[in-house]
Amino acid sequence: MSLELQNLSIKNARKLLDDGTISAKELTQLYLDRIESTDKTINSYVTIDGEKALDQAEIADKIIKSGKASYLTGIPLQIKDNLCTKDTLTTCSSKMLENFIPPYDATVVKKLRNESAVFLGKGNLDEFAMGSSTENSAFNTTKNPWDITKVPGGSSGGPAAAVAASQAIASLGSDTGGSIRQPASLCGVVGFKPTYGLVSRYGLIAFASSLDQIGPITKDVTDCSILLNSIVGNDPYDSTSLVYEAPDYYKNLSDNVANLKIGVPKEYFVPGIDSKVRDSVEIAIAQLESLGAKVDREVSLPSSELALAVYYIIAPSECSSNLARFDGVKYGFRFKDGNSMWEELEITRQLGFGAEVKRRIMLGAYSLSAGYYDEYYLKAQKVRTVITNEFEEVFKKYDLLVTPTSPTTAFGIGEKTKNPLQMYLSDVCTVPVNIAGLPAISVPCGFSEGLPIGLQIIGPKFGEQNILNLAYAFEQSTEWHTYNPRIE
Amino acid sequence: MAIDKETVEYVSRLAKIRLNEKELAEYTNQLDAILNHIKLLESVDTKNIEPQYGILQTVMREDKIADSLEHSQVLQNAPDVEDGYIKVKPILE
Repeated sequence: MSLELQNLSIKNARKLLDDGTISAKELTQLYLDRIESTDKTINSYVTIDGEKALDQAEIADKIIKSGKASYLTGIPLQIKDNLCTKDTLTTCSSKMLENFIPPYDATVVKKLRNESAVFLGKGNLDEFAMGSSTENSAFNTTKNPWDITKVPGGSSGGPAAAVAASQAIASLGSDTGGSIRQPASLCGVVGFKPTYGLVSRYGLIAFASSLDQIGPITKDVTDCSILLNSIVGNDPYDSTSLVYEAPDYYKNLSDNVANLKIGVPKEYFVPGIDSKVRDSVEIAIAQLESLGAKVDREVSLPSSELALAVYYIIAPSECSSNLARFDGVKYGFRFKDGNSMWEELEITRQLGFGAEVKRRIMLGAYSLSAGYYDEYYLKAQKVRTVITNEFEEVFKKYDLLVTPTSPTTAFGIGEKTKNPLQMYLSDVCTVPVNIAGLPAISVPCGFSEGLPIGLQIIGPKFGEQNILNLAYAFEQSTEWHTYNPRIE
Repeated sequence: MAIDKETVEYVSRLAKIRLNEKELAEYTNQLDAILNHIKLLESVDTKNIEPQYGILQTVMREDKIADSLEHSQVLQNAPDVEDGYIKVKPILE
């Protein structure tokens, strides 16, 4: 069976599976072959789970034959490797969890499993999701499928690269400060970070609990709405998950955006932005106008400029607390040649964590420590309120905001690893959204020297449907999402 | 300097991460640069503003017994286990 995987979406695959053109097992094998032939170059997978995937596909085929398939039955997916998968290695791309086999599924994984989706394997990330380039993975550096000398972005670099390189129909990522949207932008795919609390975080290995949110990475906006439908919902295992009756995002998908009021916050066109990124986003905004949306280019969110500073207090503080659990006692790596438990614990954490993780744990421990708490952590939480209030005010006047996703296209491997602050600036347009707990998408909106550019659409809390509709209208009226990288 | 070597050493002890000399010097420089950027926040007037601790809600549920993991599953990833217990080196000298 030959099939062009490059243009295959969940929606198309569903049709082919249901009308019997292809079986789930054949489809899964095609993806495994594709991974086999391309992943030596791209390195988007930490673990490839071929045997189990084929078993799952066989079960899916029976369900499809019985006419009881749901939208994701038999659809081959990748899962970011910080989401627990029962009986399948979950490493967080860390030496600390190199051999960790979870005894349970994350809630999102369980939801997909209940639909009999097929899990091809686990996607590479910056260790514990801390990074913007996937270079902080303890195992492999994932390459950008558009140019293998460039990073795919991060921390969900594996998932974004896998979808761009057609090594999975779609993937699930997590987003703490831009970790879904920024790699989606750099790899030319669609990435969605939902409203905080819309998707259960149970089984997502925690980085910064008040900011983390799981979301889809897909080829197009339609697939994004399908995958989002499958993962939302309240979960008693996550006390921050919201009680909210989510609409059917896929059924309600519409390209009628004639009455939407769109704001363009000028602070997001930061100094140092690539001129080609600025131009592409401006052309995209003009396109939204031609679709009937009412655009105001003079919106201001002055406190967004403080978001990165707030983020680099709150995220490390929460991470220093969350990662205290990695002590080499209950699970994970343990240094075994010490004289006492305490010595082993300290050396376990020295050897088990990579440089960026240790940097953030220490930054957090410092911000939270006696004498500095008021100056850093408390101050950051207050400025967080200022940023959130400012968004709320703006959303009284506008339905959605439009910005670049990242100020640059994909940068070179090794280019920013020596300067953490420079690396952090790559998330300057995405971080404010997490600070305020808002939903946002990145959709492809152009290219510069062969590298993709992303458009970010931000909505108010529970603004998912409007975001998806505007993204869909834009996508359907442009061709950016139809291009695929050529992988040698 | 926003942070000095002694403070970084102190913080590494709080965080239970041992550092060698090279790491200590590197982290002191890098944390200093990051903290200098963070100083931006000092200029924001937050006199009458409440801190936002996440987007939190109070959640109550009934205290019901439900399924949990088997004992063996809980221990399956522990580096050292004996007789159903996790084993570590002496804690007290």
